[in-house]
This record gives sequence, structure tokens and C-alpha cells, in this order.
Amino acid sequence: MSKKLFAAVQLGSLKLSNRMVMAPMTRNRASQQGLVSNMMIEHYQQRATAGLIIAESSPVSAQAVGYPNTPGMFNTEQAASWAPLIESVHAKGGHIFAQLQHCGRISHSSMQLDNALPVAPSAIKADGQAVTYTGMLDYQTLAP
Amino acid sequence: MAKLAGFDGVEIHGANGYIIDQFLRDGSNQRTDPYGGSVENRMRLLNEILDAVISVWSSDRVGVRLTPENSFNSMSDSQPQQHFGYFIEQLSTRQLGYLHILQGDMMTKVSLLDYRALRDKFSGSYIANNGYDLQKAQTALDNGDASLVAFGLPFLANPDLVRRYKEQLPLNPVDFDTFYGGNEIRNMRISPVSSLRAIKRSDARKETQWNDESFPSYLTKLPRPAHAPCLHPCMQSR
Repeated sequence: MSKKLFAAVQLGSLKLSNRMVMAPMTRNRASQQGLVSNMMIEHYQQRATAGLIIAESSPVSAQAVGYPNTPGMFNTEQAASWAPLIESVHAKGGHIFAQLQHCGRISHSSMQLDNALPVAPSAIKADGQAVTYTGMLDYQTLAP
Repeated sequence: MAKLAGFDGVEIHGANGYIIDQFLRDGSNQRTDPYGGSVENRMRLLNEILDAVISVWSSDRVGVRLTPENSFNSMSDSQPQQHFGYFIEQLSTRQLGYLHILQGDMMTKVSLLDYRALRDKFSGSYIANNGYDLQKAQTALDNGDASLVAFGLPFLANPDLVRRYKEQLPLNPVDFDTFYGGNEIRNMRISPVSSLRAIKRSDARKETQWNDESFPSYLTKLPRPAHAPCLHPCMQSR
């Protein structure tokens, strides 16, 4: 069988050890303030043999948040909390990209600052329910 | 912030019905200002975001993820093949690190678009995703359908997936109960052949930094996500 999957590949200026990518997967294990937890460090470090890891979605602002316990990317405290995770992946020869996220309408006012309604291009409500700290709640229709 | 933290690069999440995707696809974007209407307008937000990100990172350290036909989060588009063909042609002019596409619809398990045609519009590296296993991944690489392949569920269940595929070792079954929130124990095993690290439940709880009271425990008991691809080969291995 072809061995291409396990061959090194150049991605721009990065040399990846193989062509297997770990897809980004939200796991809701960060703190409520969006800080990386020890369990997350363990999780990514264990998988650092992947040629490239794409980390789970990180909201880029408080408004970008849509789910509970996702690791943030909008203040220096959060950035600092990622550093040991990244170091542990690098120590094993892995590479890791952040995934920058803004949930838009897939959020809920209870997850937003001052209970504001989430933002989106148009006032078209999503079907289904948002995952919040207090349970599954219907998505809301946003102001135009 | 991502650069400060030390990441090697960033992926812009333009997929799965979040805000960029909400702008890209006309099912969710019905604006009449410069950010809606035509394909050019619907891409405007993504372009502005890329302009900003590429001012911080060199473009080869920036990737973009798209999901042209995923209906997850109530998404739809009137002409995905044409519209995403346009978006991808435009992205191709930016010397990006990669284009990452989740192929197909996670909800209906159907894949109708011609992804090879989309892939061919992109001059850089293409990461294919959704339901790949070792066989399909090798085939995709051999055919030139992708430059790299992304694996989700198999990586959750198998931290050492690279080794298991390389040495053709059996795979762990995926355990949906451990997807979200703090129930990591069963996923801590490394491999069937080297020493198993069993972490006691109490140790795992002590290791977390965050305040337990804030953690919504119902997350560990959520029903199986509707979009989980039940037919993924890794779920059938035992």
C-alpha cells in the first residue's frame, strides 16, 4: 500500500512529519473564562505525532463565544494559558494551528456580555437549540 | 493573541454555520448592503478578515476551513458548487498555507458536490476531511484529491492514530460519552501494545484547573450528536 500518508510534507515554511491532520474538535474542557485546562494539554500532547494539529475552535472575542467552556483567544491570560499546551506539542515534534472562531447566530444571549443578542448577517434564526451553561435553550431571532 | 501564545499558524473557521459561513451562504445572508447579495459581497467579510490576519501572520501560516454543503446549524446555499468555486478561486490568489474542506453534509451523510473540481481551483495545499479512514486517505493522496487528510473521530479514540495506521494496529472504538466535557478517562489509553496509563477518576478531576462548579455537567450526558457520522469505520472496530 502507498505510504504517502506517512511521508513528510512541506506546508509553506513548515515541514510536517506526515500528511495526517488532527481535525479541530470542540470538547468544552476549558474554564468558563476560556482558559486552557490540564486535561486539554494532556489531550493534545498525546496526539502530537499528527503531522499537523488544528486545535479546537477558539472564539476571538467575548461576542464570538457560542458554547460553554471553549478556550478563548481574546486576552493575554487566555494566550498565556495556551502556551504550555503548544510547548508540549512542539516538544514532541508536532505542529499546531489555532482555529479562530466567531459563532455568530449560533450562540445565546446568556453567553454574551450584558445578555446582548448574538450577531449575524441577517435576522434569520437557526433551528434547534444553543448549548448554554444552564441547559439547551432555543436559538433566538436577532435584531436586523 | 494566537501568535503571542506560540501557535505555528491559524485556521480561519469559515465553516459549519458560524459567522463567516453565515455570510458566505445565501441561506443565512440576505443583506442588501455591501456584505450581502452577490458572491463578491458575501465574501467581503472573509476577505477583510484575511487581510487583517495576513497583516500579522505570513500567508503561508494561514489556512481557511469551509463546508460547502454541510447543513449543520441550519445552513443552506442556493448554488454551492458555483458559489464555493468562486470563493476558492479567490482564496487561491492569496498564497494561503492551505484550504481545508469538510466534504459532504454531516447531517444527511450525503455528498453531492464535485470536490475534485473545487480542489483543482486551489493552487495550494488541500486538506480533505469527513469520514476518512486509512484506505480512503491513501487513495485520496494517490489520486491527487488531497495533499493532506484530516481525521476527527479516529483521533479522539486513538491518540496514537499515526502509529496505528502505519503499523496496521486495531483501532479503539469511538466513545460518544466522552466527547464533551470532563469525562476523559477512557480516552487516556495510549495503545494496545505499549503500557496503558490508567488515570484514576479522582486524579483526573484534580488535574483540571477550572472551577468545577462552573462546569455544566449535563454536557457529559448529552444525547449522541445528530451530526456524528455513525457509519465511520473506526466505530465498527473491536
